[in-house]
Amino acid sequence: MKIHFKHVCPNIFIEKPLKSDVWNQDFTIYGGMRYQLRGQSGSGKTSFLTFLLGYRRDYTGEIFINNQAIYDLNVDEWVKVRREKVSSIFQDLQLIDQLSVEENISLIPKFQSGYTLTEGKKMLEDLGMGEKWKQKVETLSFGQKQRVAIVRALCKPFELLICDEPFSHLDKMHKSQCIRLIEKRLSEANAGIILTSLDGEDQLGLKSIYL
Amino acid sequence: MRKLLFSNRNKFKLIIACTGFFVGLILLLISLELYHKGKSYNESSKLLDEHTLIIQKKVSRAAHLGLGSPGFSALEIDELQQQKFISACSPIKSNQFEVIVEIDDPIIPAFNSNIFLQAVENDLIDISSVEYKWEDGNDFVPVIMPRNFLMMLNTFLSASQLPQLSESLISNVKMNLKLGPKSKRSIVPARIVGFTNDFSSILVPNAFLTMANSKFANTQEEFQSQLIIKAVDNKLGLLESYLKDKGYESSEDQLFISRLKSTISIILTCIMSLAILTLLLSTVIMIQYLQLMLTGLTFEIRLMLRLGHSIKALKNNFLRYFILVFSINALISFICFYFLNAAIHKRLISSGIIINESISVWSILTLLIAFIIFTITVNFFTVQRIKSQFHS
Repeated sequence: MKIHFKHVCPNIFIEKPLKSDVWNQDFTIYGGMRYQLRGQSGSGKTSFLTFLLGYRRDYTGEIFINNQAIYDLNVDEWVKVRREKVSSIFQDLQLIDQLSVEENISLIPKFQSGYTLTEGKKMLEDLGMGEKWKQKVETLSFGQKQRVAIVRALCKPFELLICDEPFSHLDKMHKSQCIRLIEKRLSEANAGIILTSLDGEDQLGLKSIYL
Repeated sequence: MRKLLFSNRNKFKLIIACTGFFVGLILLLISLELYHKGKSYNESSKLLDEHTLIIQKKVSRAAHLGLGSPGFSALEIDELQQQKFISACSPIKSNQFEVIVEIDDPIIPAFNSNIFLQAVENDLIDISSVEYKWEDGNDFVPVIMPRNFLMMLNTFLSASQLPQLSESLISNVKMNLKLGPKSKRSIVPARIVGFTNDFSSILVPNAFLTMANSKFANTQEEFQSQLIIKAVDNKLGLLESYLKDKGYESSEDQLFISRLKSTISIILTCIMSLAILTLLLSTVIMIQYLQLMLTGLTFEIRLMLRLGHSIKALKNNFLRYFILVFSINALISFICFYFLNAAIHKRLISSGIIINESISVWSILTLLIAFIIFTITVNFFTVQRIKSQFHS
């Protein structure tokens, strides 16, 4: 999946002079490539991801997915992109507190071929959370919730994994476990990744992009 | 997903809406059913619609003494035709010669009786013009019998200790009309093609009576003692006042039934309007409940859309839920309506009013229309709301 940003600039930055690899530049993400968006808080890392996923449209310029302008994508095409091409780990995790871990993972409309809830449970076990499977999400710590969100994203089919500060509340050990799991899934799916983080990540072979 | 969308919701508004829906639907179905039955009441034996009357002059002492004519003059007929609230006016022809009806069938004893014939324009009565038509040279003359005649005949048969005849049986009995005085009598076979409560004479086609009058009557001067008039829709009241002023009268039964049916129609129309209003209000409350539900589920719906669920799949969850609510409501309403209808029917029967017991197709159709409108409304509002979350 090829993504091209053509002179994209968030509306809030229009008046500001910017020095960035992405904003107001021609910038392309190629299929299977691994990127890390780096920048200070407020530099537009989350905006970049939400523009790409079609959640927000408050920007100038154009974004293309496989050479098609995302403004021209109809609802069905967007559904296909969100269902099969892209998987995301949101900064706010987007879990339903009243549902159990199992039920939260079941919310995905389609599992990656060869994957079922059993694989999801196994992944959680690898992250040290097997016993939490039936537990309501509201009873978990933020770090545990982050791991549930990571597993849910990895159970979906994707060509590009988008992670918005996915390890912010994880200790070193759990972070390493998560990175190993992500690495495994990226290799299996031959997929790319865009990850935002305040710190540098060196385990996934990420290419840094500065915002 | 059902657990996520529909559990732990405050259903107070939904219960209010369902109650209103239940009451509205029962009211609508029962008023529609009664309206339909009221309209069709007595229709099978009615040749005249509720706007058509037979009128004659009041028999006064003066007329009796020969000071005023009991018949209608050409001028009076013309004046009636000029009235804006009268759409049609035509004289009723009568026989001006002697007529005897004779039953000539082996299944019943010989029976004959002097009778009167009448004829009216076919346009003013409700009968198939194919059956009720006569031309010179036809094998028989079609006649419409007054029900009183059948009752009289059955009284005669009972007295002779013979089984009584139903309408369908007597329609197949051989019958002759003996026309004219003994010296030049002509016998014409007749066949019953219908029955009436509106006329007390035997009705024959206009062409036949014109021919018979010209052939057997002593005088060709026509005497118009009765007229058939048709009021313009909803102007029956004006017509009644006019007739009263002019000293004309019509059958009280005929007017009473027309007035009663008209009053009942108005009352039932009011109830129907009230029922439709109740249904609309209930639907509005239900849509409000749906909107509240969708607002409360903004986060969940947005998440589903972000995970790749389609608008259609999400919408179908809500549609299925509300269709189930509607169906349960409609089923309970229909069962209640069914028993209520049966109870009303029983009550009417005991009061001597015979109406069709079966539930009319209109009731089923109403349910179907209510279902379609409800489904379209729920579908529209749900899709709009979910769509607005798609790019957020």
